[in-house]
Amino acid sequence: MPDANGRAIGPSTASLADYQNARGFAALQTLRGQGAQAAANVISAAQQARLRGRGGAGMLTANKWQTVRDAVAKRGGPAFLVCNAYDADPQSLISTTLVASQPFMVLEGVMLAAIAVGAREAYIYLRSGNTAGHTALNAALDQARSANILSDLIINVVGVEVGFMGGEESTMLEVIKGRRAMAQQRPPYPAQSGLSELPTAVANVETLVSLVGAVRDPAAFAKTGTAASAGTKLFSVYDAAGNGTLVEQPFGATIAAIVKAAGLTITADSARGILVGGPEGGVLPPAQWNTPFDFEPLQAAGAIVGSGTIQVLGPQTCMVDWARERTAYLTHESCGKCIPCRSGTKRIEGMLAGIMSDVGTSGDLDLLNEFADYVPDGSLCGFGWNATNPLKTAMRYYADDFQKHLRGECPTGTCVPVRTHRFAKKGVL
Amino acid sequence: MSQEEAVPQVTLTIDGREVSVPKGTVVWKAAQAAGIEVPIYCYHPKMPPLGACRMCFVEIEPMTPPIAKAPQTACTTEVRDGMVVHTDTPLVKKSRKGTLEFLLINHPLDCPICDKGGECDLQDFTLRHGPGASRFDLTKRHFQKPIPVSDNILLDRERCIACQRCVRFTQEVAQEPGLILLERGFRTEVGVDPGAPFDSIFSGNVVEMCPVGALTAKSYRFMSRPWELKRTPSVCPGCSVGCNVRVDVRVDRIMRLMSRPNDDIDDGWLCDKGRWGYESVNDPQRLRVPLVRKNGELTEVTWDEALDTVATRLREIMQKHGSAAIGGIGSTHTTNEENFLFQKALREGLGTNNIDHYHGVFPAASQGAMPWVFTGSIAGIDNASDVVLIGANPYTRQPVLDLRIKKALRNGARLTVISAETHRIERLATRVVRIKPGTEAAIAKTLAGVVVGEKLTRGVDAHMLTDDYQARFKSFTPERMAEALGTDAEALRALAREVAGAKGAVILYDEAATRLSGNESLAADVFELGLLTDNVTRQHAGVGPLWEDANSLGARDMGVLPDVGPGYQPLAKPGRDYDAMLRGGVKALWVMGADPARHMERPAALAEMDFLVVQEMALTETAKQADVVLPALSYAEKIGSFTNLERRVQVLRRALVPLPGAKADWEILRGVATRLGLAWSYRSPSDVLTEIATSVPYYAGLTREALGDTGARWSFADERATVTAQA
Ligand code: SF4
Ligand code: SF4
Repeated sequence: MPDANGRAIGPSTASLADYQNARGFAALQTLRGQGAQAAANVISAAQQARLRGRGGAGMLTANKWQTVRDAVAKRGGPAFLVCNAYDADPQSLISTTLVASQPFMVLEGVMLAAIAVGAREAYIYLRSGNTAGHTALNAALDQARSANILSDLIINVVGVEVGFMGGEESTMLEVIKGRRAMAQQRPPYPAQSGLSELPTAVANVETLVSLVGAVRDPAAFAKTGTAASAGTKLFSVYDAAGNGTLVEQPFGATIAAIVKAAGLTITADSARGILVGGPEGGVLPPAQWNTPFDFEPLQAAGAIVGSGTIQVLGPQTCMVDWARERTAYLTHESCGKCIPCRSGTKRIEGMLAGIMSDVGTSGDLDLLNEFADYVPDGSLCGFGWNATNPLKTAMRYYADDFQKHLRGECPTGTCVPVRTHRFAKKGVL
Repeated sequence: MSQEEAVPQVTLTIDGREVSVPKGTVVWKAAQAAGIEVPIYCYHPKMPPLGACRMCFVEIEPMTPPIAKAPQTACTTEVRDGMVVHTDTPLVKKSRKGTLEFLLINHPLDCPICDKGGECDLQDFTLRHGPGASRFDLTKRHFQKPIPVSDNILLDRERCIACQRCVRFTQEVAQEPGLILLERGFRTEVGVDPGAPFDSIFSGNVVEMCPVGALTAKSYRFMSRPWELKRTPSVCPGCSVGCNVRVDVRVDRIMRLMSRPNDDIDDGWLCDKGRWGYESVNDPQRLRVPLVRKNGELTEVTWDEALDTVATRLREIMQKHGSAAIGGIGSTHTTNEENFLFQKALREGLGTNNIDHYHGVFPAASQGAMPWVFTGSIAGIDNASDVVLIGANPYTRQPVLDLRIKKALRNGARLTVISAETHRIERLATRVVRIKPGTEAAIAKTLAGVVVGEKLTRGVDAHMLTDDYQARFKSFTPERMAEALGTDAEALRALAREVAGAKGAVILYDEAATRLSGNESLAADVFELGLLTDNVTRQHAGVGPLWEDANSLGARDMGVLPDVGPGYQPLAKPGRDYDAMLRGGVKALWVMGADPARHMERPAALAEMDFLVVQEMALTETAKQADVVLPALSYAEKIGSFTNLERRVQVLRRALVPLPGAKADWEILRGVATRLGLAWSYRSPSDVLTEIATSVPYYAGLTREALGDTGARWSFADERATVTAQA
């Protein structure tokens, strides 16, 4: 998808004519001529293109939609489509940029997916604060409507602000239904029972934009990327000072290469680690920077694709404090429905605060290790399953930071205690 | 009757025990069926699975979990054939321990003063599944406690484990605003919707459902330890639904009423009117000594003196003015046995048929038609396709039935509310037909008129629909009636069509509506509408009245009526009815468990009678006018039976030591009857029930033992089916 100038996403396409001149909606027109075959054709193009979901566990898009189709076939009636353009991770630039600069491509992706799953109604779900996105999307919708491109598909644009949980699939559906932002136990999966208790496909906006390319030319699409995940991926890359850039790289590019593509030069001296995957991602030390960015290698390294946010952590980062700060953020974002996540994150935060304040004990590390697994194992949704990634990677790759703090010294000399002797006497936090 | 579609069985193994359950069952229920406890907090069998509390972890063999090997929640996982479940593996034990450890981090050490202590799921599960000690030694989180969430209920946020049972009950079962979750994450707490107070008539259920002591009832706070309570199964005396309760008594007082789930009746719920209506039993003002009027004052006397006075005075008046000068008013609150004895004492001892009780207007019993019995069943409402309420407001009058109707709505039923006033359930109704009061009967006729006019009848022999018959409905067209009824013709037409085509329509009216002038024929009209549309005996359908009191139907069945004896055996010489007796039709009146003064413009008229005897628990307006007042026992202090609105006969047990000095109504009746010269040898209400079982057809063969804990129901539909089959 990089344009001729190598820029991510390409120049913004604000007019329908421009988009159509650049092959826009061509794939859609072709499919519309294919009648009942169209759905199967979109799915098989996605299959051939090895398109994987960009926003979650990386399921093969074709498989996911086939499940929805099967559910529709079984119970009859329509399906729903939800396009997640919410950018749950406040650092993510991906959805916001895509919606604002490529609204027509987003619409085409939505329409292709709607054909694939047999949806008559679609929701595009974004942050209400994303004004540029709303403006661009509504303008594009108006143009597409007057040009009669939407056919009979109903597209609703929903804006909400419900924090990080808003990006969690089942929570998203609850919010669209007008309910409290809380995760729902699956099964039933949205593919079987989502909006209006009907089969519902949920796809990330980046996946849907990629789908346009995949349907236009599956073979070409499949040429980039890895054997497991084809195509390119967008990243929000942040330097240690917190300046972000959006870059696009093929799946399989190393973490180092992605950072470099963002124009950053880093060494083991200038950076202690790189956070990969956003708020629930893992921190990788220099020795892991050659890890290819793809679902499986990242998982092995302890990180996740997550929100596609990659952040350089400067040389002054104490990993105990970093893990505490990450966990504190997650503690406040947990929906609170299930106890392992609700209390687990809070407890981990508390213990890390103790260690970071030099009042920790070695018993704390045992507990942290235990909770690092108990929280994901016991939790209800993806939020809890990934909530201990920062902790786990910090403990795995920076064990020395923890040991130093237990001895009463901060590895980087930066930590300011947040706990006092009152807690120290009690021994455990 | 059509057969329900059979649900296929699924066989699975839990801890090595094989168990078969219907497809769609969750693992938790299957384990329960296999006799294996899986601890739960958020799950409630009457609500959809939630998966929030993470307490019911089990390990399931063939499943490939999403991440690594993780435990599964038994309450959300549906059974599959050949599934192998373990509830006691190290992983399961560790996970349950983990959940409990976290729940206990902030849980206060209130157990010694907590109402729930001793019957608390957090205590019990910690004992059976939890860690023996906490690894956290922190200052616990504190909140202001308790805070009221309603007039009757207090919330202690420190104790809340955020299981959401209470919130989900108000939102999903009662479908009313009320309790909600506030905040997020570890700050999550239960609270009251700022825009809508928690003023539900079902509020007490959340106290009972709360697995911990976070929600407590003002009425029971600090009153007792659970192990001090004597628990007796009984029946709620609050209304004609007849919800099953457990009466919890401490020494000589009722402490609380708890539900005793009976899926055929109450689905495990109680209403606040029933749950907290026991004050009259505990009331220190209750009568303990018989009173006889001497020199114009009610004076305390012995039981012998009081009973002698009653018998003597009644006999005197009978000798002087004849039997017709004596009348009796029976009760919708006392038992079947007592009502049976009451009419028997009057008829056999005093030779009068002036017997009645306060009730709605119903036609006389005729062949097969008994429009005063609900022809469907309470549980059948669950799957009705249409529910029509005509001048009925179950929410306040028969509350737990309102929850049934809401359940039907969740199952896809359409609800029509036809009423003169606004009712709370209307916001869930498909259609509201506002009418002028007293036009309910005309509405029913008009609906029937549409059915006949548009030839929509079902299950009716064509030859029955003679021209003469059809002509009866000529003037009852919606268009013609709309103005008189103050309603919309089109809505009535649409409703009639729906009822006529319904898979199963339940049409209910309140007994009280029949008393409005203009509605004298309401019962018959609704019954006829049911017959014309085949909604009388059809499955998930039914027509009939919603009675006011716990034994309204029983009093009727027992023949506390002027024109028929027990079981509606017609009488050669009918007596005077309720109104006629009170208008001065009798010189002596014997009242048992009723307060006719409530229905009289001039209650003082009672005092003008030659003789008035009242059996009552408290000094009611009527009792104040009486010549003799006999202190009676409450439902909780005696045995007997009630008949609910679907004619389910259920037994009362003695839950409470009888109030010293008072006697059960049946004992009082026996005392008077003996003095009247009747040779009564009943030793207990069971003996009376035996007699009822041989003389009242709908109660044939009933024994206390057979009634057991859940009662027995005489089904109109089944009876009809038998009669039809024999014909
Ligand atoms: S108050 Fe009780 S029922 Fe309600 S969420 Fe808390 S623990 Fe559960
Ligand atoms: S609905 Fe009637 S029987 Fe049931 S609890 Fe309420 S008052 Fe008692």
